[in-house]
Amino acid sequence: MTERHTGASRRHILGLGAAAAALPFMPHVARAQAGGRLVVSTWGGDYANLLGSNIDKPILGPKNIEVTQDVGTEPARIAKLIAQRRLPRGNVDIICAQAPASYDLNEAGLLEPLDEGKVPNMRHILPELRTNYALPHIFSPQIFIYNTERVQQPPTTFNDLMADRFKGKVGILDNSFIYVVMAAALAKTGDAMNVQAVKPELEKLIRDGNKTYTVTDAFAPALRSGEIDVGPVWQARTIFWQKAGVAVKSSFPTEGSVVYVSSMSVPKNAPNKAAAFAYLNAMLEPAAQRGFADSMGYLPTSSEATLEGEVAQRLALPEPRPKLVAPDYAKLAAVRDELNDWWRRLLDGR
Amino acid sequence: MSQARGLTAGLLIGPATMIVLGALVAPLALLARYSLNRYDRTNFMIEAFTPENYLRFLYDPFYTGVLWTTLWIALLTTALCLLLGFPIAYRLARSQSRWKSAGVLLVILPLFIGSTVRALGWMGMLGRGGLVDSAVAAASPGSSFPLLYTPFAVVLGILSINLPYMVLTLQSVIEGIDARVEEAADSLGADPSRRFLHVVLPLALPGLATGSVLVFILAMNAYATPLLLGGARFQMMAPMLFREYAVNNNWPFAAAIAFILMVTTLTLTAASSAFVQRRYKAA
Repeated sequence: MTERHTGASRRHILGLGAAAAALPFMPHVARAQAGGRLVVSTWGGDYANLLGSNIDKPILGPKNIEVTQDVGTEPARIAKLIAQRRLPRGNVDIICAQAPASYDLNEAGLLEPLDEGKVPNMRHILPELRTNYALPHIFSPQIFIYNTERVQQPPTTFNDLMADRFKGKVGILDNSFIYVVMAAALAKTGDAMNVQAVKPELEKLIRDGNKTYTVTDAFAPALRSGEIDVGPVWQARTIFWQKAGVAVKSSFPTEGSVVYVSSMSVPKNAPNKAAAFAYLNAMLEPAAQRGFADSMGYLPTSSEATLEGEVAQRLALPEPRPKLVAPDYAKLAAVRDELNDWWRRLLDGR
Repeated sequence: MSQARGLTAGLLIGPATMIVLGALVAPLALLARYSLNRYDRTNFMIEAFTPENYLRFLYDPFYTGVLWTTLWIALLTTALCLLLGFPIAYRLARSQSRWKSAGVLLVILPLFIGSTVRALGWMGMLGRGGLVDSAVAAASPGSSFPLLYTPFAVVLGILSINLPYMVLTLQSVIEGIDARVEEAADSLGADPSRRFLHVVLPLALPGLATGSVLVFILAMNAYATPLLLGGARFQMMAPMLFREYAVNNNWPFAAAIAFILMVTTLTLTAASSAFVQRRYKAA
């Protein structure tokens, strides 16, 4: 948590008031780009800390942009944004959200359209991740993690997880089940969004006694203890757990990897849009992107941010480069509530 | 004179009443209003006046099933708390030992640790490769005995959290029962079981009811324990409510679930209180 409180002294407020009164007579100040205060609505923890150390301080500090983080869970922050939709001036300049949530916000007409005129670094974004309403910040492909002591022949396709040799030994993360469904659909039909076609297989996978975990961090002890041997997770997680000393490696599905994208966008009623565009541009700078790859194991979304040394070795995509599949967020939005309901009932088994 | 006193009393309780109204009743009223709204993913919540959230819950065996699971877990843990808590409370209450305060402290001590932390401790005990599993594997190589992610683990977790509340409530009630009453029963020839059933138990009944209501409410609303020890396949009301509210952002349905949980808990609590009061009067 790096939530900082910007206390305003009486003198400060008086100064601001005087400056505001003088503003109409100082056109060059009114036009001045990207300065002042900027509010970033973000998750807490490591992510927020890394935003501070890789973007806020080194890049925006010298530009006199003072960043304040509004830390919270994604649904709560999104609810807040929706609640402010009718205000001409909201209080959030940048909203960090997973790509599916950003799609929903854009559908609701809440996001400012983005282009290279506003954010020049947009031209370096990997084409498969690019949209004109939310810029991808970091991403991670879904891979198969496996315990190297017990699995001699790693799975190479989602269909392998359904094979008898892994029966009862597959772990699934409850909080990213939708991505598991898409991976299974991709393997079975070649289309990650053909989710209805793969329900029978997943129903069998769950009823075969494979394990599901409510918290991501329960996955590593299960892999270590032998409760599970394999499971689909984000590549970033493998690297994180390898660092923690768990004997795991990852293999890429031959049919392609569905990707998790964490993105940033600007609400239409953001109070400081100029600073928000500068922030988006800064987060796409190679140095800022590398900082996240190094600490969290997420891949850069900018083609300019090449990785070097040990980080490159840990994170490098194998050759030939695996197919990366970004979900079709429109189709995902259409089926998400129904999938959610189906998944709850399936787990419950009633 | 008496009118002035009434006015003073009114002035004195006024602020407290306003705080209770503001802090408790107003949010509940707002929640009740939300529960009649309609959910929409892009617009979040649409103003409406519909009972559909309640009907969705009550007519779907999946949701009522979760309510039943919550009920039986809460009733079972309450019964176990009574069974295990009474002897401890009785011993503590009647103790003349200088270690009595140490005993009370031992009962209170677990309350210093949050329920999430304790659930994590149980995960280490009951999980695969945990203490219990390792002991079983050592005794009979090749076998495994993982208890985590079972209803047993949830009952154990809730029991460990709620037991101190029961013991402390019962202890204070038993201390209020005059020990000479028991001595009188003894001197009149009652054996220990008769003394317990006909003297101690009826006198302790209001305390039993208070303790049971307390731990029952806590169990009905348990969140961290079922989530961490029950796993994804075990569903109880509080984690389900939280998922609807904070993951799916479906505030109207979450509000309806909250009211159904609250009304169920209140009804059962009121019913048990009424039952005990009648028995108490009869006794």
